[in-house]
Amino acid sequence: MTESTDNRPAKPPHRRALREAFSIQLVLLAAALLLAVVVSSRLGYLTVGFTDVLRIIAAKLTGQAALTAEMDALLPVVVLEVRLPRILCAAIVGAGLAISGTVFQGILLNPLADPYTLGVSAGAAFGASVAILLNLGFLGFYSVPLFAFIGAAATLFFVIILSSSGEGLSSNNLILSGIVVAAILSAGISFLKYLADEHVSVIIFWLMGSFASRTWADVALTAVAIGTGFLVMLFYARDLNLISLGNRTASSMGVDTARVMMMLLITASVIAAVCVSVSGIIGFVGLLVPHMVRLITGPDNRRLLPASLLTGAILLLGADTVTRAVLPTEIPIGVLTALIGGPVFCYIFWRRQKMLRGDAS
Amino acid sequence: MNLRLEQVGFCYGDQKIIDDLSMDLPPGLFYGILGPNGSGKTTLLDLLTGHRKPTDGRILYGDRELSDVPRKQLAKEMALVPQNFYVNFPFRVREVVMMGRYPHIPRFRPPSAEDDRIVAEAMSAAQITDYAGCFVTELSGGEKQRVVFARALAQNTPLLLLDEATSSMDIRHSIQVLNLVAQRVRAEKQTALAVMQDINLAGMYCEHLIFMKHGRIVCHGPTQQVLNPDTLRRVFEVETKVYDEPFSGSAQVAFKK
Repeated sequence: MTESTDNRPAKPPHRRALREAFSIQLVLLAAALLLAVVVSSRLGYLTVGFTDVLRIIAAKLTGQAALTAEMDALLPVVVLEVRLPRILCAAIVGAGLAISGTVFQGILLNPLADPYTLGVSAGAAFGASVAILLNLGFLGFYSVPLFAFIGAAATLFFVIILSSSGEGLSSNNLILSGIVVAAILSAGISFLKYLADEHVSVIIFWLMGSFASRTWADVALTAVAIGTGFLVMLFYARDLNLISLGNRTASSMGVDTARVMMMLLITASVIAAVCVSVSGIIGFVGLLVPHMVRLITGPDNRRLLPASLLTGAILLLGADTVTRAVLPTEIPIGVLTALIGGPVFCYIFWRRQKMLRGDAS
Repeated sequence: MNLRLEQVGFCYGDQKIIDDLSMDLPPGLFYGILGPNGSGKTTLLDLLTGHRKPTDGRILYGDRELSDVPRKQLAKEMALVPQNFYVNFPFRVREVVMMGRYPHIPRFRPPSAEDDRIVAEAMSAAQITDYAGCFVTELSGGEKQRVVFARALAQNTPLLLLDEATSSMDIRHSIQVLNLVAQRVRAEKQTALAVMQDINLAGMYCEHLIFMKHGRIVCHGPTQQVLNPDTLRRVFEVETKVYDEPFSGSAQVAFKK
């Protein structure tokens, strides 16, 4: 190393500024999420007052029944047993899809990757369709999500086996295998729909996604799965940064690329599988959120992941609230996210292309 | 530390990429690896960084087998400037150079003032300080390659592996980068191992040349001894004249059309 420089910075002003900006972003996002939860709890068939929502939640958390003593006895039930589980579920699934998408784009080095790139959604849809078609009720309410999860996990397993033959996991192999397996499964789903006759509407409805009548059990399940996954992802976030310089470089910098990729791939896919099992197929959140957030935080995964988590939660919760409480009739959440997300993605893409053209000229 | 290859072989499927390589690479020298396309040069570097494992023989780093040295430790011993320097996401230049410090910084700790100093020095050495805040994705090929070179410098390792590290740079920057490497080797007793395409640049900078063809070593030794028309004919199948060139003070090669 030469010691020719005299412009050595006494302090790293750029980095401190960056860290401060990032802390502010995170605090703002977290505040926005909390606000969104409270506002969303107010809205619906019965409008609950802002302070009443806070009181109901506070009463639940602190166990002081006195706080809700003078309000309509129905309100706490509506907020605590109907709205909050659904609201939290939507937020957690949004967070899960967003971080899963972030990791998929990072591992596959492809900005078009999303949580469903490896066919997880098709696998889950196939599993759910089988459960609905055969009317498997032995696990009661949970048989469809369970089958969806099994379908997703089996698909993931198969895709990884298919793509890791030969020279280890490469992103092209993974994407191709995912596309092929998803195509086969889609044909299978079409066939199942054809067989389903009068059940076909149930299958279609499930595929379009919904958070209706989620329970606290769903909230707990998704929170544990996605929370654990998030910690695993944060642990490998720095390695994921290095992988974006290419496997050869990452490996020369001390990253066990094969192991890190496998761990992250499995984590992101399991998160995606849990999300799909709980809510059906909700597109565009996992594709769009990492893109939007990357524009603000930059591509460093240590900042990108937490910011995506919060942004995904806010957006999907917002979308679910719109369909639940704002629109005159509830439309499937998967349709809504695609209707909003598609054009937004086009806009981002168009702006980026324009920016690149501007630079080239 | 001494690198020793003992009958190293590497197969890719049925194809033998590296075949029975044995040599000693004592530290403190600027080595050049020359050979036609597909002669196994990059694979040899992959074996040395531990990115690939030899299918035959073994590589000794000091008195330890290379595969026994933990990856994290190896990353503090050797840095690689790869041939492909594509960066997939819009990181800023200084972020990429800072990645060179990752092997020295615990996973969840922010960089220290010392790390910042080393990064600033590496950027200044590679003459990219002006671009520190730019997005890597917006730079030209040669500029990007200098960023990647600075990243490897920031890794601050005794051994530097260069895989056609100046292939996209203009001649001024090529010379400046190679001067920097040569100076590290001379003044700080570090080791450089460079895969090169430009035989004249190799003749100017490398003290020791390794000629490869079909995954084997054709010959290796001090530049003055091995850089001659006979070797070049055997390795590259071209007719050449090798002469001492006083202006550069080194052996230079002229080619027959």
